[in-house]
Amino acid sequence: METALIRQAADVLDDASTVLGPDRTGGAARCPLVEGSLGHSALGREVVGAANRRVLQSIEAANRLAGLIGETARTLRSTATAFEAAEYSSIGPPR
Amino acid sequence: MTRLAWRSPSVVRAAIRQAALDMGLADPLPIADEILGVDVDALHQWFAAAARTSVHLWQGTSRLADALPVLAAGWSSQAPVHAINGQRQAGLASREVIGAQVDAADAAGATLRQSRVLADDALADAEGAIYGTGWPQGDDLLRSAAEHQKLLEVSGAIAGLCHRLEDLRSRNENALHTLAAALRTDPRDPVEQVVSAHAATSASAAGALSSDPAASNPADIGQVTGAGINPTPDRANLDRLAQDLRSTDFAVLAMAMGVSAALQKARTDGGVAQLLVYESANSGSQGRAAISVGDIASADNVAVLAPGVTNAPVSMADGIPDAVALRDAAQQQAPGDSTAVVAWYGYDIPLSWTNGVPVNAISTLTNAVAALDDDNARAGGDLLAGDIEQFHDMAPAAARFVSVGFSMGATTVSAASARGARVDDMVLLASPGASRDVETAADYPDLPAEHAFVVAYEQDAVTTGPTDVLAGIAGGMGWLPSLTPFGPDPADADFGAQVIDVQTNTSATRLPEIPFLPLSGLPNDVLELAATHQEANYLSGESLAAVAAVVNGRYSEVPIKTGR
Repeated sequence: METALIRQAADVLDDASTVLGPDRTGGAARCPLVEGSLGHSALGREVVGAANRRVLQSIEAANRLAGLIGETARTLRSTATAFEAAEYSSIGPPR
Repeated sequence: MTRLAWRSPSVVRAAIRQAALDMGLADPLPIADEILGVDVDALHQWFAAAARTSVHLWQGTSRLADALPVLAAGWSSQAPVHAINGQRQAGLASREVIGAQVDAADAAGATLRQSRVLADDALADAEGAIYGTGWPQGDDLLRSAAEHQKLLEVSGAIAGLCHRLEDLRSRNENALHTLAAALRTDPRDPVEQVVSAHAATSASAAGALSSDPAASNPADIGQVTGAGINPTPDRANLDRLAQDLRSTDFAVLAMAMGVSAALQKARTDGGVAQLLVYESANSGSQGRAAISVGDIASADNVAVLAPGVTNAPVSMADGIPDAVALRDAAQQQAPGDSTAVVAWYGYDIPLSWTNGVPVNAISTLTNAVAALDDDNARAGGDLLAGDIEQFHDMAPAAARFVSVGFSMGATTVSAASARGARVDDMVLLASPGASRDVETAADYPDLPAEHAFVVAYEQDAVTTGPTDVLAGIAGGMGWLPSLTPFGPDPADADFGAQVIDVQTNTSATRLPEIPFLPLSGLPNDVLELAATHQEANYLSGESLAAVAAVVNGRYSEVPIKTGR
């Protein structure tokens, strides 16, 4: 195990998490479509409702993925730290 | 094409409308208004917002791809690489869903924009052709054309305009249908799968790693893994219920046992049951309770179902099958979307003492008289609006909310909307009236009339005037009777709601009638009413499918007819 490379991978994951997180994607998007935007037919209203819901859900999907990736990055760093500690204790301190 | 701006478009358009109607054609102007009124720019803005998220997902998954070789070089185990690759695949799948929706929106936008231009041109062409015949403004168009031997040109121009506009409308509908179909996939689904798998793996790993028995407790596992535990929305209510199940007060204990049985039934039949509202009964009240069939915390759609007279929280297990049926129908119709149906026994239901816990004599009398007007429904509307606000806090931000009420429950649901209840749609089943808070569907402050739906079987006398009159006379004994004690009939055309075109699922066995004998038909009317005016009759068959379509927001699948 190369802990430096693991930490490097964790940094890349953090970067990915930032790209997908609320700061970049926006916590809640403004929904430009309003009642009647696509006409008052049942179909027009259905599309407006679904479109607004889906755009919010797509942001939610990105944000949830960001959370998961961030958690994975933390786990990688913890693992690297734990491995280094274990390695240090098995070798012992320098005399 | 010649535009004659100096002539009054309203005059020539009125003449076109009249001529089209005289020719037996549909009025082309509403069709033109519909095509020209589409806000294509708003759709374009939506496209831009969705496309931005798609780009972020692409950038994020590209970064994940960059991490893979670094990690593979640093750690010989394949497990972390597989985990990150799974996250990347989920992001790509989510992006693919959004991409398909963005593409469909782009195509629909192009069609709608083109239709606007073409409709405008078609109108201008027709107007130009009419003026070209020398039609004097103000004259009857067809008569004038006939007098000047221009009938063929004029009728041809009008028929051509109608045909063209119908064609453009049809193109728009096709484009919207394609977009609606693309929008039926939830972009969160691929990510949710990988999040769930991760949570399961983390929990199992934490449990396996820990030798401490306390780690088998989910809360402790959450601490070990750092994974967020969803706060149970009904923890406090379940604690109160558990406390009431140890009560020595008969009314308190009876209600608690009834609610407990309903929870068990909801869990058995619906998988997940949550006690969202719980207030104990006492000697003067039946108490309040609401059970969600399905997890409200992850629901895409939340339907809140209010029952009618004679129901009570203690017997709410009887209402659970209707909630389960609605949830099943909604989820079968939209397999990608999850629905939670909340059986809401949250108002002082008239005649609830007949199926409820024993209460004192004054409460019983008051509760019986309450069936004669909408007072309890209107008070219940306040409670329902407040509870729906609480439910919003428990549900995802993008969840759709639909209130559904049967009979007096429908009056209550309508009263809640009159008080600004935060719902996307409302469905009134077998309503005796929409409450005296409103006169028409335009009176709901936060609910457009197009989102107020009504089901009223023709055979169901409760939904028609005579019931109002009887209740009004009975309720007004000694005073001036009200002829609409429950408010206006929401199935009336003048009310302006969307009346759903479905037929009853039951038919009563009819007794022979004796000719010329007054009231000999009454037993049959009573039998018909008993068979028809049932919540289960309104939540089965084609009516159930229509209500489920409203719950899913699939308005194009809801059959609508003109009100009575």
